[in-house]
Amino acid sequence: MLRDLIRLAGKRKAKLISSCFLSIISSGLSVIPFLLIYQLLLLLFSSNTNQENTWFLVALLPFVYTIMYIVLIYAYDLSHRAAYEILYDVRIELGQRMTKLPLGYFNEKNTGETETIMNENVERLEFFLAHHLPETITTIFVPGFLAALLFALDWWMAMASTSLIIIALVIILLNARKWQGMVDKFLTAQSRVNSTIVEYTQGIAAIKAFNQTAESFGKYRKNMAMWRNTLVKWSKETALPFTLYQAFITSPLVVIIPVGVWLYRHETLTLEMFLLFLLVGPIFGNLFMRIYQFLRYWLEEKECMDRVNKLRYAKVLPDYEEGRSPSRFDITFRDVSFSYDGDEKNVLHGINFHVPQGTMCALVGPSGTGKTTIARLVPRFWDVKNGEILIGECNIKDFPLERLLSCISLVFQEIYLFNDTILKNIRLGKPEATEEEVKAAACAARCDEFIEKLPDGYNTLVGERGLGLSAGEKQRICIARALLKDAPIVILDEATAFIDPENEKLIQEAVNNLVKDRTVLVIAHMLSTITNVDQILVVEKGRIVERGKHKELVKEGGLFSRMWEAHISALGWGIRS
Amino acid sequence: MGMFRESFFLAGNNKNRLKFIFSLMALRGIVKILPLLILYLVVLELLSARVDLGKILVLTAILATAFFVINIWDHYLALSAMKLGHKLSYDIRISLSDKLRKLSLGFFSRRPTG
Ligand SMILES: Nc1ncnc2c1ncn2[C@@H]1O[C@H](COP(=O)(O)OP(=O)(O)OP(=O)(O)O)[C@@H](O)[C@H]1O
Ligand SMILES: [Mg+2]
Repeated sequence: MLRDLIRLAGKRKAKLISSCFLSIISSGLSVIPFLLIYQLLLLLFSSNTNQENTWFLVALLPFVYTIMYIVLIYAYDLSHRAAYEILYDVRIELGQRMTKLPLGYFNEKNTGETETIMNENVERLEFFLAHHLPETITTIFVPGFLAALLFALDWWMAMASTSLIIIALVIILLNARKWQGMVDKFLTAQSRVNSTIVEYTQGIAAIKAFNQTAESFGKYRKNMAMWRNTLVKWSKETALPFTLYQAFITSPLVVIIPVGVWLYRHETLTLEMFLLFLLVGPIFGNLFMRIYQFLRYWLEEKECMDRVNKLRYAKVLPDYEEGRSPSRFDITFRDVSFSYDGDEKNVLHGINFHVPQGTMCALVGPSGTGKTTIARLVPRFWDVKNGEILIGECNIKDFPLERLLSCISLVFQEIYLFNDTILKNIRLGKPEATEEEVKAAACAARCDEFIEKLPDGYNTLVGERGLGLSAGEKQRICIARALLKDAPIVILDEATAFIDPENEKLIQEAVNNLVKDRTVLVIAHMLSTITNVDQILVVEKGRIVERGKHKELVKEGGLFSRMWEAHISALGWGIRS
Repeated sequence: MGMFRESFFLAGNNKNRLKFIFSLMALRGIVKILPLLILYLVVLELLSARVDLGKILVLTAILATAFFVINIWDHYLALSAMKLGHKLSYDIRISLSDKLRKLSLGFFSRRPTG
């Protein structure tokens, strides 16, 4: 834990440590009033009561408190500043880190997780560094110093005051081992409930439209009940140890009084000392109340720290600042095999093909066979496991990543528009493009006529929170984006969404403009759109099983010819998918 | 006070249980003064001219009993408060999503779900 903390603090170590140190000093100061009270009691009960001394002691009390608070405020000030600076560093570093992570890192699961890390977890850490860390130190050191004082004053009475508290601490330590697992379970139940809610609310329109409300509501209710039961069980399990803990730390008086009376009768204890312990005993016990709370915070915050550190030290793609630039733009796969992180099984096995510059190559095959994976290896979403991918004569790993990405236009299978204007969404392809260039690209992508009909034209807001565009329109915006980028290599993963014939024709025109004179890798779902491409690769279960031109493949009578027959008979029936 | 009214509104059918728990919490505050009172009596006895040890021990016994009762009380109060809390948030979520289920389809095309 401490090592993680130092690692997190990085360059701001000194500030953090001084803040901790000041907190310890302030804890030490906080026991002085008890000593003063004892002196006061001694004075009050002594035969020659000295008025002056009494008043002096009384006046000293606020003075000590003032110094203590000044030190504490200074400690907090330092810890806040350290927290802001550390988290600023961490955020910047995470931001930079993210640009260096392989694109493939940002799949759906990781994107959600990364978002949680960047937002919630980092914020929790801020709270931890600014508040909980100094508070934990005072929570531990104030009772520590006070115990030392009590033992220095009277050994037997100190034993009486601490005995119950030691029992309480033993109970907690025995239980704390189980806690880690419980925190884990709790966080898991929590995240499951969150995803259920998101799924339910985001899917509600579809759920209703397909008249599935009863079934999915049942599932929702079941998940909620499960979450509630986990919570109830957890509360029950933690309630008893907590009650015992609280019982033991709040009742030291029950031991202090009898022991005190016994010692007092045997005249080994003065009245003043007895009174002091009667006063300090309950206060001492209450100081331990907060330790319980802080144990819980620490467990949760340690988890946050682990997650932040995990992202901070996630594996990045090896990259160079300097390197070669591609001279030609043909794509070659040589014996490429690949498996996703954590999977033993290869998704791709020994893929070999060559796309000469300026030609078009189509990947077809059943769903889930690895077409998207092949396409995404070219812009290095992930690095291949075996074999190599070349652009020109050069392995793609030898280009600086930025230069590699700059010569590839990507159109993804899942269309994503940012919550911004259409103009900005297209301009993403080339940030320095003028408005004329954007409009020209939109025109070539057949977007212009539907954009002109929109209320604010190019300045209409789209995306999640904006206007709803049809799948075909969104796709054309993505194509416009790629056209604007004007890169020599185009990778086009066609959407599988249903698109009406009218839109389809427009998309086809847009695609034709996009692929003109470029090296193209296209993943096609409509076989009729690729009858004229230079080569077709048929992928099945991660292997290329057939290759050639459309006519040759149809003649061959293999998988492709069966797919082709299915395709044209579907067209014949007037069903398009 | 507004917060109390709001929580009663949210509680719906659980209103009475919620009221019960709130009043138990108020009572608990009063009971917590008891140990301090006993401590005061003990100190008085110690300061008096002739210290009656028997009386002090009786007071200690009362104190121990008081702590015992308070802690059992606390335990069940915390348990039922937590249980009711979980039940409440469950009921609210279910009734909200039930409502969602009954809204018209058009509602969702106007309103972002996020
Ligand atoms: N990010 C990922 N992590 C782990 N496995 C993945 C990931 N993406 C895809 N897969 C798996 O790899 C295999 C190939 O998936 P891929 O997306 O390449 O198929 P596809 O041919 O593009 O399918 P479709 O035609 O449906 O788009 C599938 O079994 C899929 O489950
Ligand atoms: Mg795919």
